[in-house]
Amino acid sequence: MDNKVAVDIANVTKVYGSGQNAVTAIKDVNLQIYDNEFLTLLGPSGCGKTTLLRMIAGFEGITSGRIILFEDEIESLPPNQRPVNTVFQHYALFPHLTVYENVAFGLRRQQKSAAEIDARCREVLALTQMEALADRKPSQMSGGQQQRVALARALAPTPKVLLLDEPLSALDLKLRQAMREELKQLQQKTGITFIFVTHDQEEALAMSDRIAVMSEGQVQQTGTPETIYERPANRFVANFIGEANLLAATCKKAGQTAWFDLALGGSLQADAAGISVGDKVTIMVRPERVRVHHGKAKAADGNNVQLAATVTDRMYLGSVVHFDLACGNQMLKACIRSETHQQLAPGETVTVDIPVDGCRIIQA
Amino acid sequence: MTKTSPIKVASPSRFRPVWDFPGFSGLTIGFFAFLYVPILVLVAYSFNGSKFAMVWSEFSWRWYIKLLENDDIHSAAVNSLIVAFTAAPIATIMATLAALVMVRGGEFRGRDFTAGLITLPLMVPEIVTAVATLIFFALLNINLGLINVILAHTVFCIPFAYMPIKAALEAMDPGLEVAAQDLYADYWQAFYHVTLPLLTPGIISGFMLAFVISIDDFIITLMVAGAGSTTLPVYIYSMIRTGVTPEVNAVSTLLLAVSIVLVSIYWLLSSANRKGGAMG
Amino acid sequence: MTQSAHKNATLAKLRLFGILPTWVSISLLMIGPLLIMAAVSLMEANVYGGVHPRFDVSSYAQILFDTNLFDEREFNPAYLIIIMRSFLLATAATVLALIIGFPAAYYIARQPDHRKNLLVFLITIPFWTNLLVRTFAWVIILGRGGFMDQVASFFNLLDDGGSINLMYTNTAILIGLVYSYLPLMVLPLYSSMEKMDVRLLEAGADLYANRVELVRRIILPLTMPGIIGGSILVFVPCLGAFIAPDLLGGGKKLMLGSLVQLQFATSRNWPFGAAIAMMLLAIVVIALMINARAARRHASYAQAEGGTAHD
Repeated sequence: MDNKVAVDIANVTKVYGSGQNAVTAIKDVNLQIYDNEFLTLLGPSGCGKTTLLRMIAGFEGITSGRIILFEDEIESLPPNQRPVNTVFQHYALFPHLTVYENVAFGLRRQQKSAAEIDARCREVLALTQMEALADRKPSQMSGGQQQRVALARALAPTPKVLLLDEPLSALDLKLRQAMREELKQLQQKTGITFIFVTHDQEEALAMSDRIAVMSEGQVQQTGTPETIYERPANRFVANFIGEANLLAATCKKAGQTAWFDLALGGSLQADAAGISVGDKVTIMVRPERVRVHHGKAKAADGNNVQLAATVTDRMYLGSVVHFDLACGNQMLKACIRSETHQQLAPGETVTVDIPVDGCRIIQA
Repeated sequence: MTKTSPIKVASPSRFRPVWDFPGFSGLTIGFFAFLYVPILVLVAYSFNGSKFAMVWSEFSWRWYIKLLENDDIHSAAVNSLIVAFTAAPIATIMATLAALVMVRGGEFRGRDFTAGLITLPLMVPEIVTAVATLIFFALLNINLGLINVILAHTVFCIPFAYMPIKAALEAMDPGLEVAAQDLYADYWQAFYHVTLPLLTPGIISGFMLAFVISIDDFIITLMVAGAGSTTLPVYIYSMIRTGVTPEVNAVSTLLLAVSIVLVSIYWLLSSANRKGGAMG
Repeated sequence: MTQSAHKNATLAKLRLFGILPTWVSISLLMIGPLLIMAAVSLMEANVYGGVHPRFDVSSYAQILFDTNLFDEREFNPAYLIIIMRSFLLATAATVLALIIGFPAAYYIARQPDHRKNLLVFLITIPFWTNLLVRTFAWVIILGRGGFMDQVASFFNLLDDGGSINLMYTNTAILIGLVYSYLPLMVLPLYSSMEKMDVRLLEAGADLYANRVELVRRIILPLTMPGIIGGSILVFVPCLGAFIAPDLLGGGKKLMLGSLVQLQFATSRNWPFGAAIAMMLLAIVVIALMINARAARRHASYAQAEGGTAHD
């Protein structure tokens, strides 16, 4: 991956309305998106991800800040002067034009020669496997086909950045999964920077080179899927991606390797620089790292925490079994592979075993 | 495109969404001005104290006062009201029945024909309807004075009453009648207690539209009315032909006021209907 | 079984009861008169008004030809001029109404809901007021010494006693026609524009179209049903207009509507009047067929808005 910055979002803020009714949709966001990367803006509804995308495209103005596209400031340019194209959530295909004419639309506006237009259209239709339908109208096609036409149309003018606004949300599950692979391959093949917006974390994890998790108008964390999942920066990210057990703890002894006392009981020794004695932290454990077994707790040795709990719910999900466990005043979640799980039924008292290598210290 | 420069704050006022076309708001204001200025001029000049309709001298009520003394205008106005208060209700009743049949009557032979028939008076140019009706009455020797006019008005009022009633019926959930029957009402009771009350605002709207159309009608009435059956618009026409005085402005203003008030009531009714009315 | 058959029979009877009054009244007082008028157009005129019940196509012939003193057929351009004037003025009025109405319809369609409804209501008010009275307003404005003259002299555009003098010209009639039927152009136009998805404009801009191209390539094709519908709603009444040419043309510049009216007022040539009326009717039928065909062709777009064939 090149380290050239394709899109630099610098201190961007967006406020709707004014005075008493002002709503801040985007709060001082800083984000750098690299050339030839697949970056996903991930977050719940209302977090601002679509607003940010629209600001890059030019459909929304920004209140303050700059957006720089490969060294050019574009925030005051109208959308038709930005070398950026969008795949819209509901495709926005021109109903009165054929597939071919839809795809050719941007090229015609750029006033390319007829030969260039034809060559490029055919190229891009082949890329998205839509050549056979070139003369159909959008209303005569299925959702999946329309989505590909939208893709082809946005790719045809060879934009510097391709923006995708939840393009897979209207498709059914199997199609969505197939399109995830296709989109990823398309990005690698064309080398164009893809900025993808979704609220579906599985999608984000599967497709992205990097993910920017957003909430309430701010970027909570940016990183590779592994980083986001294994080392979330705060409680929000920990909770939003996958499931998390969040255990309150206090630092008992500081240092390169610090000791933490958990609110639920037990102690852990973990690598945690920069934490002082008495600091309150959150220890995050993913359900799949939690072990559950009958029998009493073994002696504690600082490398894992053993807690007594009661099984309250058991859900068989095929490849894994999911347990809800009541431990003290907190509910814990455990996710165990079906072939290794023990027959633990609701109501049973069990021991929850939390290994330190499955934990992550979060300060926020 | 500009190269990177010292921090620049994009001013929100410069930003214009894609669909916002500059200057269109001004053009729209111009549009409404074009639409309303003549009416305002007409009304303003009705208060013109001068005897010459077009030269303004001073503000005065005299032409309205003169109207009150004009017997011809009285009888013309009375005729207009008689015609409207007869034709509109009849048209409304027929339109209500027709709407019930078209919306709730299911499929039947001649359905498309009926739909076309109901809208026929709207399609045919007024002058054509006018002379056709004139010929009809003349050749069949139907000389019933004001009743001729009433007959002619009733026919072209039907589509105007029909449209709001049909819209109201279509917006009504047929499940409501079914629910009533589930609760032991027979068909007529369901109709009387559920359909009719919910339809009433639509019927009133239809009536008002039909009434306004009848009051305002000119061309058809001009050709069909005999002596003594003059309605207000026809009388205004004769006033214009004999010479323009501000009296014409005054009576025109009154006629305008009546139409505007009625249409406003209709609109308020139907927007209340839109918000509160037939619930899904 | 018999119960539902019985129910169907009652339903049929109710239907008949409900629809019969409308059938009777419209058939008797619209279709009947139209048929009789068609018949009259093929009869011979009675000099005292009315007709002789004798088959005679001369009224149609009269549109184009005149019989001179020597009983020869001679081409008579007089009526052709009236027909031309009617067509030209109706076309000009339609085009002007389209130009004036287009920006307004678009702007209103982009407003938030509550403002939209109010603005649409304001457009429809003039439509429900008396056409004669509204046209008369222009008599006051355009007449000698009228409002327009007074405004012009206020701005010192006129010599003393001069007048812009638009009255009794084709232009005055044109203004009157546009004014009379403008709401009928704007409402279908607005309806079409409202249905258009704004995101299509965003897509167009995203793909490098400037505002002119947005109008030309996206808005115009997608609002074509509204444009055609509105055009027909203006063109047809303009053709048959009577008030505007009468009041603003001084009764000297005839259009088809005033020509017809004349035959039943002073000229007393009923078959000829009926013939012209039949011509008007024929034009309406043609216009409606054009509209129907255009509506069908553009109906597919309405489906495309979120409508898809299924996988």
